[in-house]
Amino acid sequence: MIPRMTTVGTLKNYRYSLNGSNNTMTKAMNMVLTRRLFNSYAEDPALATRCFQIRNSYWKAQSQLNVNESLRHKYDVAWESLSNMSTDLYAVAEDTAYTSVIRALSDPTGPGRTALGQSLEAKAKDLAQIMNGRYGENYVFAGADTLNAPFTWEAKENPAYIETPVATNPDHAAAFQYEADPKKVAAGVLYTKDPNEAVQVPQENPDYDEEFTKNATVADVDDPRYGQYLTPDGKGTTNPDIANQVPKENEKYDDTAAFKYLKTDGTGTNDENEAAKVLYYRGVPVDSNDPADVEKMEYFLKGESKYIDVGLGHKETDGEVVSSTVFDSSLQGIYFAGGYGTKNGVKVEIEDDEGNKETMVVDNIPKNVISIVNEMGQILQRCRKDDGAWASKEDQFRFKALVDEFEDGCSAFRERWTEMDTQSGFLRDNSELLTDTKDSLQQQYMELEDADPAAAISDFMFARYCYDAALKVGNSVLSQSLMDYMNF
Amino acid sequence: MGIGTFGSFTQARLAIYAAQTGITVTGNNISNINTPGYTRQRLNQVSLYTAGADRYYSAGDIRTGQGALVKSLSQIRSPYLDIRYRTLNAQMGYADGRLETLNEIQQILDEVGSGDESKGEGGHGVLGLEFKKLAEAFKNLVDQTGHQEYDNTVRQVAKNLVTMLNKYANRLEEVRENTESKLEQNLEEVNDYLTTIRSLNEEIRKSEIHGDPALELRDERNLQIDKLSELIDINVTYSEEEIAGGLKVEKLTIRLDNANPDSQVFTDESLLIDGIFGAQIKLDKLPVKNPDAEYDPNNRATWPYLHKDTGKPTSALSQAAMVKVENPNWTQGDDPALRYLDANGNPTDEANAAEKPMANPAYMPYLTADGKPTAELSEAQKVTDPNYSMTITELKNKIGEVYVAMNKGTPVAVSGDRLVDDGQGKQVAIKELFKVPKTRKVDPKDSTTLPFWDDANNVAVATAAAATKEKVPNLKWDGKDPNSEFLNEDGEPTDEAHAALRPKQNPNYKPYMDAAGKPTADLDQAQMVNDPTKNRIAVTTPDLPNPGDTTLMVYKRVLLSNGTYAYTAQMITQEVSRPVSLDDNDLSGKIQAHREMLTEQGEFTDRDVIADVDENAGGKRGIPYYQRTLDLLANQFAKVMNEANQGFLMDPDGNYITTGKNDQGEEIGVPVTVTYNDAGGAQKTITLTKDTKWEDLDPEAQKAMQANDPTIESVADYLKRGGGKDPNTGEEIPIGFFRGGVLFSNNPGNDDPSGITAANISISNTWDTTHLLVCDYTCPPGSTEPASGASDNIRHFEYLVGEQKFDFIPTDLDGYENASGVPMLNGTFFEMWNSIGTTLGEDQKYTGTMLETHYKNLLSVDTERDSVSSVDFNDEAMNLMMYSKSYNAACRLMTTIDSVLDKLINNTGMTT
Repeated sequence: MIPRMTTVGTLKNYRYSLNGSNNTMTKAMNMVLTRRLFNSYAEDPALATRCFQIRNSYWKAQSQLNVNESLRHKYDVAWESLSNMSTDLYAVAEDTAYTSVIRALSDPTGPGRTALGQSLEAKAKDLAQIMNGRYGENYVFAGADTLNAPFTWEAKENPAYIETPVATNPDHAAAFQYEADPKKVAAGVLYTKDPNEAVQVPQENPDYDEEFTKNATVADVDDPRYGQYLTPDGKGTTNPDIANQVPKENEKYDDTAAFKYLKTDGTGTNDENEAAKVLYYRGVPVDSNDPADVEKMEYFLKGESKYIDVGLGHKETDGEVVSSTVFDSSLQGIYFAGGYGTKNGVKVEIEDDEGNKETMVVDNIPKNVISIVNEMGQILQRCRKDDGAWASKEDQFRFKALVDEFEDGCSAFRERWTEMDTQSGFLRDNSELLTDTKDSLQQQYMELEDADPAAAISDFMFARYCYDAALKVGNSVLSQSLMDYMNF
Repeated sequence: MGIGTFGSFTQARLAIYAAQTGITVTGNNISNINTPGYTRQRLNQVSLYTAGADRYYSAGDIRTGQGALVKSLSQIRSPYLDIRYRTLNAQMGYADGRLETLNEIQQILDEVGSGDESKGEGGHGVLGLEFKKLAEAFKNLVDQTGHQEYDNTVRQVAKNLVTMLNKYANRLEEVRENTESKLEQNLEEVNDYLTTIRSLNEEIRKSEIHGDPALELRDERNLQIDKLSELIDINVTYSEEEIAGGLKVEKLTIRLDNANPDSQVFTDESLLIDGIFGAQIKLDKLPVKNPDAEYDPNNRATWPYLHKDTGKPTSALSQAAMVKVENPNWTQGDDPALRYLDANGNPTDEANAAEKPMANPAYMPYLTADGKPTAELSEAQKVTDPNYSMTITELKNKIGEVYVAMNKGTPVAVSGDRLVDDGQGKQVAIKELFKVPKTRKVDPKDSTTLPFWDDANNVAVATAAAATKEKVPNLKWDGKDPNSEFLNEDGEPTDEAHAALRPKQNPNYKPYMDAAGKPTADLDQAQMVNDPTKNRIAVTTPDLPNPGDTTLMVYKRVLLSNGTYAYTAQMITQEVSRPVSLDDNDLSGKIQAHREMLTEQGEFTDRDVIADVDENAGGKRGIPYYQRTLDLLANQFAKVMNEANQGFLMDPDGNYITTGKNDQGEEIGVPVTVTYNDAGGAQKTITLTKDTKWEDLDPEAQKAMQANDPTIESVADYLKRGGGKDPNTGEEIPIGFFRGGVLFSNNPGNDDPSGITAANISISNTWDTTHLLVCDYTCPPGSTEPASGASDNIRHFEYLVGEQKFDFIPTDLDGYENASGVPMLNGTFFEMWNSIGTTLGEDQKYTGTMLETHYKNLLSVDTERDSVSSVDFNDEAMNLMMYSKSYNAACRLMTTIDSVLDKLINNTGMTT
């Protein structure tokens, strides 16, 4: 049956259709105005979700790029620092350390050694200063300890120093010159600095010759070699009872035990400024072979890291970061300086002008170039100022060992600098990659979200055309009925 | 019957009248074309024909009609279309109600296209972006660890994040409150419609009794029903109701339309309107509970009962003393048989009274409106049930009389031997019900046949008038209270002064004959004989389920030609209307949509509710779902961040460290070790590492760790207070080095991480005032502090915020331990946030599509209804022309008749 279309029904239908047409036009208009294909999850939940995910990745890539750029700049500063260090170490200019060393070994005149020594020591300070360079507020070569200068020069501490000697403590024996006489001191006191409290013993004859004394005649008693002891008038005697009585020396006595620091010549001092300077890396003496110090240094070089996410797929497994998914941004200055600790048992051979060769085994040769340069400077400064002669044969051999180690240190430095350059190159490449990723992601979400202006405008124009047409139809719907044609 | 000479004038007059009425009806239709709910009216006219033999009739024996008679006015409606329209209207109302609220939620949670364009953040969202910004802030802090400005940035971004969470939670709560108001408002509308419909029913009923079809009132009623159908799904039926003397009027009945899918539930067909009786729908109110009365094993005031033996408070119902339930309306002097209430709440005597546990007078489980504790439910403040449960009140008419439904069953043929209840609790054959005791005839000479006694003459008498009067005794008198020794005229207990009088009984009266033919006073001994005059017996059945209801069994018999009887039984119930508590799914339409949006919690729904109430509840998501999801996000976020920011320092090998000394006697960090003797007595030493679990430790090791504090139950406890307490200060002495603290709390003024929700998540007081972020827990060997720029924990934070995927499980939220244990999502915080938007979008899209579909269908049906019922100009124009022409023709007929009669009367047979 054909439905009876009534005026009321037609109007209702028209109202609904007109509303729909207006709604369509409004949506089209919003698309033009917002330039977006959708403005709520409800319009296209799957697409909206996808776009947010892409935007999330975009934001992540952007922040990775930002931090990658920051790291890149840090590495640039590091590279520049190492370049300066390299200049100091290798450049052939007159005031370079290396040239100074070569000159020290070959210069027959020698007198310039002290000056060269001072120059080398200053260069060592320069090298440490370079390694204490900062990017922003952070020390570049401090590993994870970025707020503190990694290299410091500390006064050389005296390991034998006893701050408050206690006479009853056997461990403090080095601080007391004499062995205490129990009859003169309180119970339990073992040592004393007062000769009057010491155990009195016959004075030993320093020139005593046992064989000579054994075969001596009367005429020989005035000979200095005669007698194990000395009488008060300084003559030798074999009778301890008539010998001059002197306080008994403490065999463990160390005259440096009273000093906190040691000078470069090995003597003690309590003045920090007079003391020899020792290089420290992050509070640990660089040239120490103490297991505790070695453990710390090993941790700095192998265990410590400062991981940062630069877009390598940052991941954790059981709460532990997967190291291959992050970038370790810690730069350990000691690594570039050649390492830590010292070498023992280094065999050194020196040939004199006549071609005679002499060999000596030396210990405690530093491995890092800064300490090496510093010690070379100290040795050269110990040379006699008038003829430049070595202060001791040990110094001469030690200097030779240091020169050899310096060569090795420089070689290691070169390798590690190259290594860092590779890391720097990675950051540069990564920067480009992240930029591409970011741009690509931006392109993706724009393609998904943004309306094509031409399509949006033409859709709007069509919707408006439809709406206008609907309005016109409405005018006809309302005006036409049989009533209008009735003729009474 | 033929028409008389002047009858033709009547014919013409009727035609004119019919045409004129037609024009009036048409005019009315045209006038009301814009009146909402107006149904076009139609004039019903018939040809007038008078039957019977004429005294003077035409010889041609031609019988003609006598004109047109306007019989009635009627409306043109299609009940089928009305049903379809109302069903669809409820569906549309439901979708509309849901979408309305979802759109409001969308304004809060949907961040598509939002973001600060000026900062280049357009389209990145707001809250979602804060998660990304927080991860970025952590990343920057990794690069710049130890610098406070970057630490401050992290805190500020975190502050922004929690502020947004608070804001969104508060706005969701506003939406909830608005929706609650809408529900209450819509319920008021429903009740207004119900009241109006009931009143209209009454008016229409009156009109019908007086013969008026009351078409306009029906239109108004239909309009009200249409409006009601948008709010609740209803089933409208029409039936005829007999008023009196065979006069029947139409009765409109409206019921809920069986919306509950559970076939065992019938409350979804409850009556709302039955003729002139109507109900209301009310939101249930619950008493405000006194939080201090919540059961506490150490507080006797929270124990509800008194012990049956000791009389002291107890919490065990099985140990409680029991007391009879007293009738609150009973007062001293009333019938003792009514002093108590039985299990159905009906007054009864002590023996049949129901029992209840004796209440502890100190137990006050409720709060009054002014916040005072009370034990009386009636005094408690009432608030809307959080489940928004509803009750349909009893049906009442205009003056408040409660509706009683009478349901007559169909009489069924039964055997006369069937055993049935005789109304006194005995089982007897039906045929026995029609028997009466064999009585003796009154014989003045035989005093045992005379029922009364005359004290004056000391003789038995036959009539009450001749008998002595005595006061009516109360047979249930307890023998103590003189005020209830007798019964008054109404049968109520009273004292002697007010006692009713009755004729004194003849103590020797034996009115019956027993089977042996001997007189007897005992009815039970009497011989039962058939009563041929008795063919209908009504028996009230006992043990009715509800007070006020009655069920009658009517037994009838018919004497057959063979001298036997045929029996029938018919059940007649009279059911008093009473309140009906609606099930969760009994309603549909907009009311149900609002209710669901207020209550449905989706995955957070209690599993018992899914099992017992609505198996689909887990998939229904209302405002609470979105609130709880946001809470879960905030709670999980706070939990993860707080956990990551609290711990003990470790060495590079993962051993927890404590203070030790090196060879030089300097203080250094050394691994925490525990030395103990195992069960065999052998000394052992273990090192506590980050992987050490308390439950894996040797019990002897655990004991050793508890030496200073027996309450230690974890490695963390030991590290925190394993050294016991300082005897001077009382402070706990830690073993390890604790670092960090609570970052997010439930209030900006404290560090309490319990019960964190989206609404209360805050930056903790300590973090707000200090730099609390733990950058790293690992110290270099021997050290007791991490390196100044160590940042592995910050990197871990960044990973947690930006990369780590979590299982978001509803049961992780406090108070939802019995919800679904299945993860809603395994994803990052941002993905969880995105998923909330996706869920909302999907729900909105689906609901929008449903609304569009229902609306189109509704429009289609409405158009169909209009095609039947609404006014059309073309139709009315046709009618106008038709009635106009009819009117003209009738007038012409009148003129013609006049002319003809004039000819007949004045010009026929007359010559001049």
